[in-house]
Amino acid sequence: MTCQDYESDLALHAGGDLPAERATRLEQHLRTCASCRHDLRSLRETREALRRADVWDENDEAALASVRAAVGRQVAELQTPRPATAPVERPLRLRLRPIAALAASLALALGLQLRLGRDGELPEPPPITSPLEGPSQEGPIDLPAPENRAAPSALPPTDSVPPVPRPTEPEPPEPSPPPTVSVSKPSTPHDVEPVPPIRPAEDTVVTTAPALEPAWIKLVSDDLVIYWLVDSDEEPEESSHVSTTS
Amino acid sequence: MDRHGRLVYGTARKLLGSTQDAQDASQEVFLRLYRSLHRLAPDRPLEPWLYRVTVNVCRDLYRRRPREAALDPEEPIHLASGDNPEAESAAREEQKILSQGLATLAEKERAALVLRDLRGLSTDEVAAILGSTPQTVRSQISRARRKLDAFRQSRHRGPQAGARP
Repeated sequence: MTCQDYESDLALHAGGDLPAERATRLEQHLRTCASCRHDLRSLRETREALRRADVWDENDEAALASVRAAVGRQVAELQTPRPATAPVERPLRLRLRPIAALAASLALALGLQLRLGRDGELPEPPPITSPLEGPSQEGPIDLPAPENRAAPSALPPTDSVPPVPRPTEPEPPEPSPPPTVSVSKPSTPHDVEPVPPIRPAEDTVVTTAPALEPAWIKLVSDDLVIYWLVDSDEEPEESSHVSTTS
Repeated sequence: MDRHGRLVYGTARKLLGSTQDAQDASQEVFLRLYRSLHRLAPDRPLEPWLYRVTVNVCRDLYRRRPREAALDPEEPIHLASGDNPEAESAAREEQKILSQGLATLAEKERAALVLRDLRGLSTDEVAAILGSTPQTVRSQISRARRKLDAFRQSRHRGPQAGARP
């Protein structure tokens, strides 16, 4: 073995980290190699110098006092109970959103109910087919499309004034299929799914409602189903007007 | 805290090379100790836990501030009182050289050397703290000693100081 082969062992031997067998072999080499003895002496001196420097660091009383004071302050802060934080308040529009949806649903249902019963009694339902259910014996009826209901009555009939072509304007979006309404005697609606927020019809007019037989009104739109119970014992308000805009 | 404070601060000071960083690391270690007191077994020695956390905290600090603050060899050196001016000057120069030499070591080599040679831990204990094997730790210690010794010799006696006789 050459001196280069002993380099790693020399460094370990300087700190007493060499296994006994390798230490014995190294000692035999050291007896005959002044260069390696020099290297070992230097390694040990450096190690001792490092240990002396560490003692100085350990005795840096000013630094230790600073650490003690800082830790004491921070532990005291951790032990101090913090004041209870105020509950996070939801924005007003988020809190009102469910109420607005419910109000819109009620307004739409009321409007449909009163529009249907404007003549004092429930009209005979023409037979139609609900998009969600098959033909019903409970008398589903057609409901005009929302845009037809919201059309102002003061406008002349469309056949008297020919429409002016407006080629520059984009085509209006395809109207959604009109919702259907079915009216039935009170019974527990089965398999009623949660009703999503409804977009209310515009300018729904509610007028004095006559007393009706208790009945379920079922509004079926393209994406929702609403049940509304009409109670004949309720005293309807004299008149009310609900305007909703989407 | 006095004995453990010296253990933590002395280790951090050697690993980081900066008094301010060593103070910051020591604070962090003792805050972690405070938060972990309920999880530590009272019948087991605290020192291995302290060393492990100190090494981890110093590693994080060193990686966050690798250039501008870590291992600053120019900062004031603290010496024991009672030394004569000549010895104090030599000691100051020696400590400066050692700080610079430690800064040249790889992170794991420095940690292994500090724990073994300065803190007096066994190779197995160092391996447990560093999450390594005793063989790897011995290899790191050997390289670190040779690098530091070569650096110290070159600074003490000039470029030819490390020449073999």
